Amino acid sequence: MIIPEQAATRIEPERQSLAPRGSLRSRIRQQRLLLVLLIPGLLFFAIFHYAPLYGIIVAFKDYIPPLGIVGSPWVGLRNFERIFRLGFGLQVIRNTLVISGLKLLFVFPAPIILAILINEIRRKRTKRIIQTISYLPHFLSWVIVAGMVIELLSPSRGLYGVIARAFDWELTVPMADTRYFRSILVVSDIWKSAGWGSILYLAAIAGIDTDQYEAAVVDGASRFRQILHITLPGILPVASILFIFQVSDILEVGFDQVFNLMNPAVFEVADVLDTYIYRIGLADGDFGYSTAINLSRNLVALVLLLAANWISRKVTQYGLW
Amino acid sequence: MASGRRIRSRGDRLFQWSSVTLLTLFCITIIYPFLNQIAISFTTELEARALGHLRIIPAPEHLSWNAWRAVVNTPRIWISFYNTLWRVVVGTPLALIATYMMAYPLSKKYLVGRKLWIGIMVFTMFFSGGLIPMFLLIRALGLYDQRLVYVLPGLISAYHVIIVRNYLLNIPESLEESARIDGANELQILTSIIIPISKPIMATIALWIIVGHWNAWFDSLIYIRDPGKKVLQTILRDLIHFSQRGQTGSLGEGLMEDLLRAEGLIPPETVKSATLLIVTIPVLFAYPFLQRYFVKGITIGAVKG
Repeated sequence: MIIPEQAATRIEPERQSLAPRGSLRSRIRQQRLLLVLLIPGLLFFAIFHYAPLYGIIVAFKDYIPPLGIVGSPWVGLRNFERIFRLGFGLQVIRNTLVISGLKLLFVFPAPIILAILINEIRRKRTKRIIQTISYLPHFLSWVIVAGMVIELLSPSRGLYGVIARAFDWELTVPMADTRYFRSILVVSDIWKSAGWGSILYLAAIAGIDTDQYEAAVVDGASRFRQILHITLPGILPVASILFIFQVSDILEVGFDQVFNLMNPAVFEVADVLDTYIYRIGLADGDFGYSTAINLSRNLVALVLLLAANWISRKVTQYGLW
Repeated sequence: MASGRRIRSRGDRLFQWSSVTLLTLFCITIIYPFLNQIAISFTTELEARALGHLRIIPAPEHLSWNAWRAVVNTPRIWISFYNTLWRVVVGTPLALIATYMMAYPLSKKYLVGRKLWIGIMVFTMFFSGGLIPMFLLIRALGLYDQRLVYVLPGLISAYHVIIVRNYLLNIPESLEESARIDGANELQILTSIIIPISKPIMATIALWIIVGHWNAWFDSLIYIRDPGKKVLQTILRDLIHFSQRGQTGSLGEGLMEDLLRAEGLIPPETVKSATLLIVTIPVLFAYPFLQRYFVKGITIGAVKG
């Protein structure tokens, strides 16, 4: 009868753990289950992520549908030149940068402020309720949120109309007013994303050493000063990383939001790169030009991302990889 | 965090009071739009259009079921509801399985070519072909105007794979080791040990995918032409923007006829609200119960920094 300990010592550890041992062929054979599992996923990425890359050459062609990609004539960089020539291209870029900039200024700090405020709540139940309510808009689509916003801002039917009349403001249609549209974008984005964004910061705040607070209390610091000098520096690492990557994302304005809130009356300030790419490409059918803008945008975004990662590593020792 | 039996100065109490007030106001701004929509959906079209002074507190003078009756009697809304359900029910399990099949091998440090596969996957997170190339591909694959287009192009999200993979990496190796010593083979280890242990993270991912499918509207807009295959969100979007611009969009003649028959007015604000609520209420309803899984999910398996 074999005693278990004896049986165990006779087994070679390497074979048990499938660690790299033996030729490539034998390792592949050993891991065949794993590799087979990988096949559908790789196939998926090949088809839906890498195959479209071929379509990028449309940017260099004058795409004529009946001729297909291969048959359409080459035009080299002409589509790219158009970005700067017509004036629309530059306006769109300007809008993108302006809206992104506004969001950096106003939407980025919102979850931080919210987290700090929520953190001040003493009673657990109240805290949980407020948090739950605050995340809710994150789970709604922009179709829904835009619908609600449009309704509320209607001068004839909505809350805006009621308040404007009560205070005798100049009545306008905010959604169609180039003066207000960007503010609508910013405020609605805060509404929708601040709650969910605060989760991360609340976790960061929770990680701050409580001794610091106690020391501050002993020193007689008010709650407000405590926040200023302990909490804020405490979340600075997290905030910095997020900020750096947010800046690198400056070309990404949030297609869903803008697309659902915009209307022709505000194109001048609302048309951003992604909506422009969509309109030119799918609505107007100019595939070449649309792809050219898209490609340019993606390349710039990639460069910005790499730069952000490099900066982030230098400043905070953290990066995406 | 140390909570206070400590002496609170007036400044402290003022600060406390104002932060609670701000938060309450914030929560009110979140709840209010829903109340507003509910109120509109339960009133008559005439009142919905008029400027009601009662509107600051959404309480309509005339209650009416008209909008809801109209919605119930509009086949196209039910059809799109079905399409949304279809994509959730078909898309979610497929996505879960596909994601897991990708994440599991990648979590094995000894996997042949591991860095290569991960690199292939991660690259797609940072660069893509773009709108038109994707559109051309969908057409070329024969997915245009097919419901499968809801399920296939977005089947695996590299981000989800990474999260599941991190979760799997955190499973102690001893679990697998002892199973191997007991003689289990690769497949048995996977099915009887690893998969059951992965339930929490898969539940979280499942929720994310479900919400994603429920809220999806753009693919329905650009890849689907047949109104009978459109998703609820897209129908809602057309309703909203029809009111704005008077274009039929993908609504087609059929839907407007249905709606006009019910309400007799163009465009029906109350029906718009009712439809919006149909799309929103399932989320509102499920949300309180499922919320903590979402929150937990961000921290489970997610790499910080």
